[in-house]
Amino acid sequence: MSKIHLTINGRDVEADSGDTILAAARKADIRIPTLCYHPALPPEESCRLCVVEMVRGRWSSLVAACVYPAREGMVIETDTDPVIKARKHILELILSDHPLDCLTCNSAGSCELMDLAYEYGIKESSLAGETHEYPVDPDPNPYIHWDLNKCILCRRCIRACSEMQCAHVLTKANRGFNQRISTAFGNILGQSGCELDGQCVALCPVDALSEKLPRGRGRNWEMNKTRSVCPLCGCGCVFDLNLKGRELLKITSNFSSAANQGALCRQGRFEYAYLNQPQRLKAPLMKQGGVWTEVPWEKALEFLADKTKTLITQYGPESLGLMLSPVLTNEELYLWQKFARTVWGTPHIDHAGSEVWAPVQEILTQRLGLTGMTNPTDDLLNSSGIILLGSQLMETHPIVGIKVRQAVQRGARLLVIDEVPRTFRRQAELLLGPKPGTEAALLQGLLSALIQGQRYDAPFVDRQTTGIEGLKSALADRTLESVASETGLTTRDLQEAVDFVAQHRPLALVCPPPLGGTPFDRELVQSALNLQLITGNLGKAGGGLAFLAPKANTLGAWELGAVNPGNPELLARLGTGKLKGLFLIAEDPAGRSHCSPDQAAALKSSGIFLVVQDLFLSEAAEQAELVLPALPYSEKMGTFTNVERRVQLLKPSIPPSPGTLWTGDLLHQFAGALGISWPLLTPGQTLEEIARNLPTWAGLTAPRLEQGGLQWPCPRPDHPGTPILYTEGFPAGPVRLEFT
Amino acid sequence: MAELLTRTTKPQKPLGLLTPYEKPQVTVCGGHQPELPCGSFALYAGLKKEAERLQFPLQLETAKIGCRGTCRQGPYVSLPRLGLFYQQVQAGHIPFILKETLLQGKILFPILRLDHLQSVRSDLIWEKESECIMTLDSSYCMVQMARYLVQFHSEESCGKCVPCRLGIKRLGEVLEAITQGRAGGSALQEIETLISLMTQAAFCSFAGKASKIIVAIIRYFREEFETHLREKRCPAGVCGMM
Repeated sequence: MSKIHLTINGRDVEADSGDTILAAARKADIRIPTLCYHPALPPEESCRLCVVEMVRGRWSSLVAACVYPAREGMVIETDTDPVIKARKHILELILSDHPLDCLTCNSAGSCELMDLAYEYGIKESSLAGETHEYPVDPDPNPYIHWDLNKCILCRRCIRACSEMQCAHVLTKANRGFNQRISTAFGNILGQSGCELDGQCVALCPVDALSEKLPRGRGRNWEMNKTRSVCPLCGCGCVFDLNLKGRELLKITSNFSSAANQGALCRQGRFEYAYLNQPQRLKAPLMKQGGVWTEVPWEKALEFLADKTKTLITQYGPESLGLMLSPVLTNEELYLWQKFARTVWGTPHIDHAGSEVWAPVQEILTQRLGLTGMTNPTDDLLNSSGIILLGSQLMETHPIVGIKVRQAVQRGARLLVIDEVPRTFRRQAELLLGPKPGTEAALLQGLLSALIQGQRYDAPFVDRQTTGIEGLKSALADRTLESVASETGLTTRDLQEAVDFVAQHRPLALVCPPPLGGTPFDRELVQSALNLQLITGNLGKAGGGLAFLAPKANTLGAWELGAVNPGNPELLARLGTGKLKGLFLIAEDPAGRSHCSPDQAAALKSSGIFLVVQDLFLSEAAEQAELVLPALPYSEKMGTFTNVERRVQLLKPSIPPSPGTLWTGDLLHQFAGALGISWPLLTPGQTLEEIARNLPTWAGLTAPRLEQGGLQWPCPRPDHPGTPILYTEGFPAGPVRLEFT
Repeated sequence: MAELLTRTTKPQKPLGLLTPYEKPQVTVCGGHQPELPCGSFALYAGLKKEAERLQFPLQLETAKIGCRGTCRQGPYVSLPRLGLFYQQVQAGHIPFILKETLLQGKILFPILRLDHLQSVRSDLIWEKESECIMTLDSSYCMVQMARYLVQFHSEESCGKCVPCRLGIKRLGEVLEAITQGRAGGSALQEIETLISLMTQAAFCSFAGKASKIIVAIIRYFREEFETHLREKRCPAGVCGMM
């Protein structure tokens, strides 16, 4: 990109060609006020507040800096008299149709209009006139508060809805002075396809669209804003927690995050009430005479140590089991599994839902070397085609789903394979609905047709893989006709799919976890991997294989040994009678869908020694002999690994609730009660220890992670992380094309 | 703003002084269809013959229209370079069109079409951009007229940018205040400020063009505004002020 030079306020400024005046000024630290402009959105230039004076010889004109391209030799003045006057008049005009109830406004403190009025000294508008009187909060939805009287029609919400969320719910209605933000036909949000993700709320500069829940409960300057990572799914969205005292009032977007670029889903943005529940456990609980009684930690740990010792001497260390949660931090997972392996000596460690991800983990590690998405989520925007295996993506990983929609909106083509496509119908170019369970056969049919028709990436296959002939003969009976009869599709559909795969380069393949805690289909994983290998889409921008890990830290749990590779299913041991003691850490298998009803029943009837650590007195905790209070993600330090292998730092927003213990402390004291010396490690020291032991984590340090997430492998402290895997070929040499 | 109000109309190119490359262009409606009853073909042929006789360099064309010769305005002759449009032209007009209009730049008023869509002559109307001509006698209050025009435009504004959406609205309200005698002494300054913002800072030229009529009205009828403001009196006796 070539450089251009222009003069802003008499200073020589260097900018890239293609920059706007605003971008050039920001590079030179020259402030130009903006209102409708937002870096996460395409420009709209509707507020005209960013006007600057463009001087050409002896005359000049006002241009909008947010869109006007900077050119070589241009002369720009950003705060001359005409500019300031125009800005003041624009602000006065906006304020002439804006209720000046700033004293009680919920946005006070974060209102961009208020800041600009302060900057330009506008107290009120000199142009009194007709103002709008719309009903306040007419929409019955539970999260988004509407007050169109305060709307300044900057249209950020419309752009957020159509460009970020790609939902196209909000639009403008009417002309001129009567223009307002509306849904189609003015329907309520619930009837207009709104997903209630609140991107509009995040981007509204005033109080027109705002969060309904924290209204009237705190001013913006009372809230302490800290960056955190969402623990709800594997997307690993970075957001800001807004806390007043210990109460979480709202969650706001953090636009500097690489994982989600400020986008959040409905659950992530609005469903945080559990953190404020007064029923949270504050001290260890033991059943005494059938009643839960709070006991001090020392007593609880002494009891725990006694019981553990008895079980180990009576039944051997293998009678103990440790069930971790995939929403624990990497540090906690590491410490717990190390404790169980070294202090207790049991290999029976598992995390909830490990069976879902197990096939992917096993196949990808064995054949390629590393797991997780091969390419970052954002890279989907570079794809020319996307295959989506399962339309439940919007439910399991909404942010990846949004990215797929954005890619389609920018020209990528989408092939959806799902029996009953729930979403993505509008975006899909091709919809294939094979019978459930035959998706793998469908992919094998595509593979076979691509190989037979010589439509695969021959140079890539020759260089990076082996066994194409073997694959060809293994798939010889997968003709389009046989696949068509198996999947219930027509050969024409299949031929179209073959053409789709052959024509689009780079092609990404996205596969969300099946709903209901069903594991990934092994055959499907193999077929998808083979498809991406023969089409040469691995190691390329815009390509890649995206199997999505189901929970916030599933990848971390596998990476840090929260599994028993030999015998993965811990809960299956419940029925065998060999398990005598079970520790459930921050996870309630009895109340969660990823535990079969049999297992829940087994847990209830097994009569084993059960210890539960959780935020609340959960269903499983009711069966326990000892319940320990856990720390929520907002009160501890640590890291999460998201679906794209990005390790992101979690910092405590508030000090831990009194009566809770960080895992490092807990294990130190537990070991002390057992009479064993165990170091007291802080989260930072634990991360250092992990980095020493795991070569892919060697470059991850807390100070680096504080700047933003890093994607492993990151082998050196100066390594920038690896957004796209296998760009230099596969670590273990050419990959064998096969079905194991 | 002051420049805006005192600016003169743009200098026009002297008629008849076109360069050889700018042959006068004349378009006749449906002239190639001899069967049409309105006589447009005869007009076309007559113009061509007369131009050849006078050795007048003429770029004569026919308009591509689907008229069957029943139009009451026809046949017409348009002179697009000059912005003129003649209607109900008869054979007798041909020498005048060539000699007077094309050579000397005179306008043949009896057959001139006064239509805001097609006759665009800056010396005939207030402002070229406003594309309209109006004749009013002294019983019209010019402030009311300005208010009416602004209200008309306020319904046409798309509503995207602040200077247009709110500027036109507030401009109309200030003008209304003047007609009702509620406006303060600085109303004209307020109008000028608004108009300069609408002209300079708006997204498109709609707001600027809509306000040009008001600029013209204020320029030529300033005393009427001042009477409204100072004496709270409407010279035309229209505004029921007090």
